[in-house]
Amino acid sequence: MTIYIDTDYKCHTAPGDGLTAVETDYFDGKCAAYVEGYRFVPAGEAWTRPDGVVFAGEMVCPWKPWRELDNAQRAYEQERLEILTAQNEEYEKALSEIEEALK
Amino acid sequence: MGEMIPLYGFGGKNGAALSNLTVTAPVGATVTISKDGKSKPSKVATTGTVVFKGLETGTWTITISNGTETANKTVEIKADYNAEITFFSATINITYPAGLTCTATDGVTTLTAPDTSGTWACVVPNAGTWTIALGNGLREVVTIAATGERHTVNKWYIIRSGVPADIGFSTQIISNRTVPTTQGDGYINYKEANGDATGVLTDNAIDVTSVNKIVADINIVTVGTSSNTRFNGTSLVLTPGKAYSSYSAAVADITHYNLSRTKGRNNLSIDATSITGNWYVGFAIGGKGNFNVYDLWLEV
Repeated sequence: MTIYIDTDYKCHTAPGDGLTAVETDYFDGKCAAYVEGYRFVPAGEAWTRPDGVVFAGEMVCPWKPWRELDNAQRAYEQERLEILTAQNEEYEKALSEIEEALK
Repeated sequence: MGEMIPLYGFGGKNGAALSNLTVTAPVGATVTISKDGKSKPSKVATTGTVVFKGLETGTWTITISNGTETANKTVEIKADYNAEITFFSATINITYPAGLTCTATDGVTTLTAPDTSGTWACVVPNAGTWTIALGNGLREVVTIAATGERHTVNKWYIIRSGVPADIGFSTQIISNRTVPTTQGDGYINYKEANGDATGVLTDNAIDVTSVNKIVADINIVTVGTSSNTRFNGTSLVLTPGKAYSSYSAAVADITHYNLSRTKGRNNLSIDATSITGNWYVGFAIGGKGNFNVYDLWLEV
C-alpha cells in the first residue's frame, strides 16, 4: 500500500503538502489509526531523535504508544469481523430463501 | 624462696612472641581488632594512627566505623605489622527496565535494589567482580578495582561478542526453518542455505518497557531475499511470539523492525521509546542470507 511520510518520518494515510509517498507492504491490513501512529524511515535515509540518537532506515516503529495502536487495530479487526459475519448471515438467509423457493 | 623466673620468656601463650599492630585509618574512625571472636578495646584514630600492642601471632580482623560506614580488613600477624584501612565505597549507577528486580553480587555479598523503579545507585562495599542481574535473565559484569570508582550500566546485552546471554538466543522465528550457526571469533554466524526466509529469536520474551533503543552490530556477508519486506535482507525484529507455524504468520507478527540490504558492517537499531510489554528480539533474513552478529543489546 502507499503511505505518506512527513519530514519527521511520521506516517499518514492520505497525501498532503510536504508529504512523500512510500510503497510498503508493512501496513497491509492495518487501520488508519495504526498507520498514523507509526514512523517509517526509508532505506538510505535517517531520522534523528530529539535526544540526538540517529536511526538509519529502513526502520519501522511506533511514535505513539504501541499499546494504543494495537488496541485501535484490534477494534478495527473486530468491527471488520462483525461486518463480515453480518454479511455472511445475510447471504445465508438469501441462499435459504432461494433454496425454499426452488423446492 | 627463690626468685620467680618467667617460664616462657616475654612471649604469649606457649612462648610465642607478641607483636604490635599499627593501624592507619581515617581520622576520627573507631578502630577495633579481633581474633577468634575476641576483641581488643576499641581506639579512636584521632591522629589517623592507632597502635595495638602485645598481640599474639595469627589472623586478626581490623574493623573501622564512623557511625554510618564500616570496613573490615584481615591481616596475618607474625611480627610487628603496619596496616592501612579505609572506608571502601564504589558506586555502580544502574539503569534498567522499570518493573524488574535488580541485584548485584560478588559471590559473597548480594545487594538488592530497593525498588523496581529502573534506576539504582548501587554502592558496593568492596572491590571485585560484581554481577548485576535483572529479573528477566539479563546480566552485566562490572569489575571494581578501587574505592571511589563510579561505573555506569545502562546496556543489557542479549549477545556480547558473539556469545548469547543466559536468556538464550536459539529459537527459530519459523518453527520448521532452522538457521545453521557457526561460532566465530567474537561473533556468531547465521547462514541460510535452502533459499527459505527464516530467522532466530531470543528464547524468552523480554520486557522492553523503559528501553530506549535496541541495537545490533552485525556484518552482512550475503544479502538474503524474500517476497516480503521484513525478510528481504537482514532485519532486527521484535515479535510478540516465536516459532511461528508458517512464513505468513511470522510476517504478520513482525511488529517493529530495522532492515538492511547493504553488505558489510551494519548497525541496526530500533527506537523503542513507544514500545511497551514483552517481546522476542532477533533477526529475520531472506533466503540464502548470511550474516554475523557481534553484539545485540538493549539500551535503557
